[in-house]
Amino acid sequence: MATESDSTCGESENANQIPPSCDEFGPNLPPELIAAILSRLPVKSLLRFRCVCKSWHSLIFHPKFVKTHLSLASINTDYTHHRLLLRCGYRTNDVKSCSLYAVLHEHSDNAVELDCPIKTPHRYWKSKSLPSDGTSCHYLARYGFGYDDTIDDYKVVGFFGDVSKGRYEVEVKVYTLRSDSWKKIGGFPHNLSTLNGLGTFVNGALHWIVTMKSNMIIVSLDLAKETFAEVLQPDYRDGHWYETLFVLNGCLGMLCGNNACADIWVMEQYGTY
Amino acid sequence: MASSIENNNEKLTLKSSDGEEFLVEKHVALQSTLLQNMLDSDCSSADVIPLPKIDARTLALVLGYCKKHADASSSKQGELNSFDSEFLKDMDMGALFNLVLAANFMEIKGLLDIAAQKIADTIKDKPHQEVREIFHVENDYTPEEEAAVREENRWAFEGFP
Repeated sequence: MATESDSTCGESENANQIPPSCDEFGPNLPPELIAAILSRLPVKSLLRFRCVCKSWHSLIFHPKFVKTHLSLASINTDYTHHRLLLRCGYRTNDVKSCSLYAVLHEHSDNAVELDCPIKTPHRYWKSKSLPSDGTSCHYLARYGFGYDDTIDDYKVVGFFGDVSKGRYEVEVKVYTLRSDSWKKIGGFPHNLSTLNGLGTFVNGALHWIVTMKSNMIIVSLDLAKETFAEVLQPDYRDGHWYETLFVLNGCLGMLCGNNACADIWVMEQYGTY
Repeated sequence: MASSIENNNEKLTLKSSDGEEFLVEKHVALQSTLLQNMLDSDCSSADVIPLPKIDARTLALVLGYCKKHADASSSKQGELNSFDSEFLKDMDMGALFNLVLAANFMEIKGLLDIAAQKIADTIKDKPHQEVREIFHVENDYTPEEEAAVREENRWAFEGFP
């Protein structure tokens, strides 16, 4: 038995002992390892495991945990591990499993529930209506949707052609979920009717194809900086009839082709094909 | 300054909590950031490095992992991936818990990642009551509180007790 005088030493020795295996399931794990394990679970399991105890419940709701879970899920290429549930489009009560990837990397042309459901799981049934951007009437509008990692928030980008001005003037506005409001940004020097698609989210930026008379360019909008830039295009052949952007394993890709054949280009490293 | 290339063939001795000694090639030990830091700072002057938190059974598994990854560092990733999944395949929960603790203590990130993922994969379809037992967690909800949390996401419990 340890005496009073050497109790410090005795304690440190005890601390170094493996806790005796309580049963077939082995030792207790410290909180950081519990978090490491739980952050690798699908959303549906996490929602159930909130019932395990109060500290698990707080952990699963902690913003840091939510962010870690999101980043692990978005790099996990095994589809089955990052399913989450959300309401897609206008199909009433059509709750389906889809990958977290889809939320972050695919476009959305209407206001679905923007919150990752784990943040507000009891609210995920509802879709969120975006507030008016302040303009009365839009002759044409296009939208993009993405996640700004620097402020941990979701953004919707709206391109609006205002009919009241009677000309092709384009206003660009960014909606952030947290502020729940729109903000005007500048720097889009193109005609709205030439903007194809709904924005492809890669590398923190949304990408669109802009077609002009005989050629086209790829325009990006950095969601953190809210600045537009032109992105290098692949060296595709002439004579294609269509082109579209997509995401493959986190890389920007472009499909272009005609009725006979199609080429697929992927930016393996952002900026080079 | 110790040169790791020069001393490549050196071996060190690791001692498990239950007193078993393991002779390990240095390049294998370097898979562990803990051991790497000890070697870099020359703390390893002792003949034997004690690892008082890791029992012999677990340490043998950890070193098997480190050897494979040290020897195969330049070879194909696919081969390592299939080694990893085979390595953890039939491991019981107790062994996995010990492994994840050892990987955390020895700072072997790759092993920590795969062991944590394996535990997650094993528990993901289990009822929360069973998960409580696996992790030795005491239920501190009142029945009413637990029912309220459950009610918030009733759909997630479909098919579960």
